[in-house]
Amino acid sequence: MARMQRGGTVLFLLFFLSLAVMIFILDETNRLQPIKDLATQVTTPLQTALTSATDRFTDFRQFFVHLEACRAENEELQLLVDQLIIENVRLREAEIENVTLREQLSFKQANPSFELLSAQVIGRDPSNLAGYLIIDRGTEQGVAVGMPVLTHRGLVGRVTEAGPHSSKVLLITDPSSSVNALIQESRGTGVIQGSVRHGLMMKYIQQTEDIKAGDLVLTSGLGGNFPTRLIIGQITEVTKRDVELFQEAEVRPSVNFGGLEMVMVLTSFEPITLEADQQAP
Amino acid sequence: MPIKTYAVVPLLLSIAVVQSSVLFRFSFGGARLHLMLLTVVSWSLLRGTREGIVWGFLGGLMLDVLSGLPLGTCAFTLTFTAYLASLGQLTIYRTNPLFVPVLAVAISIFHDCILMTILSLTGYALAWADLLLRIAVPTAILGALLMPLVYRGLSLLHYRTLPEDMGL
Repeated sequence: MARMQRGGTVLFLLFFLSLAVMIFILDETNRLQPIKDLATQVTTPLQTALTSATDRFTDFRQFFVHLEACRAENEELQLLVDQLIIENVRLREAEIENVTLREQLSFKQANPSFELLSAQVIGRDPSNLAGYLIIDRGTEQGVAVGMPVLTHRGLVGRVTEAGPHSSKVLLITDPSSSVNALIQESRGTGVIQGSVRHGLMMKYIQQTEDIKAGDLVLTSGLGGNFPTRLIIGQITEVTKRDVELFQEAEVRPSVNFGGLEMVMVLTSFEPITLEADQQAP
Repeated sequence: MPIKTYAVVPLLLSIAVVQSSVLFRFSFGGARLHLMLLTVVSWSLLRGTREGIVWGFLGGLMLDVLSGLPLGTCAFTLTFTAYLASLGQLTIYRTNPLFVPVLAVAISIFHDCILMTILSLTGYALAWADLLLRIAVPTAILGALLMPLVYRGLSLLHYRTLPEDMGL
């Protein structure tokens, strides 16, 4: 009985296997194409809907899968951005320095008699109460007290203290500073003094001098503290009163003192000290 | 209430659609869940050879239609696999909790071997070693892990649809 049942099962199996083989052969000879087409038409919408839903789920899953990778990539990119920012700043600084040095070189070529030493501004009065700055050159580099400091735009000040590797420069805008000056057009002379309110004031100009706004003011060289013909600035306003002995003028400095980064020390100039000359035999 | 063959069609069709549209997209180290195979093997273990063969044939045929393989390929493979799995119904080891997962591994690899043999015979160029190591074995392991779930789920259906003369 069991053998008959097993035989029946094997026959059952063989029937279905044969059916499968027959379907396979029919399919290979394209005789089942209409049936396949029909089945495809029925199942395609369902498959499409499921595939679409799966895509959305897969996208959602991929979002989380890639989240960590994105985070790591973001960190790497942020690091790269930081490096590029630093490099960009460095290049921009180099470009600015290059422009400044070119201007200095141009100034030096225009004044071949000057021996100039480039210096970087490394410090300035933080309170803005006193007009001085610190440069990175000192006696070791040939800087001495009294030497004029300038840029290609004009006079900056003079060295008042000189250390081995740094020096203190008193700006011409400081109220304690005074520079003998000359008005280019009228040839009138006066003294440029620092002013807290106006930047620079030219005082002691003879009443007879015909001066006007726009005139250029240069160093006169009188007194021997500064060489001649260095640009100081431009007259912006003239104050002339009949009751005064002298007339005054506000002068706009040619140098932008707020943005000073590089200056030049005129090392070939030796200021003349009258006391020393008088004591000399 | 015994389960009729025509009532099986929607269930198998649903599994075939899910298998061909959804499950093939999820790969776990090369392994893909072959839900139809696990279903047919489970049903063969639960209901014996004849019903297993019918489920294998119908399920395989539906997969053939939906997957683009030559018609009859999966039908042949799953029918034969169902027959082999049904033999496990008669062993004394069936009560062992490891029996179902171990059988799933063996049957899964055997199923893939038959399928690859058929495909090779019909002109498909297959890298046997790679396919076995990278797909068949991981798929078998994944199947073994999930087989108890499928088996338990179908057990519920099995007990609710037992023929009256087999009712407990």
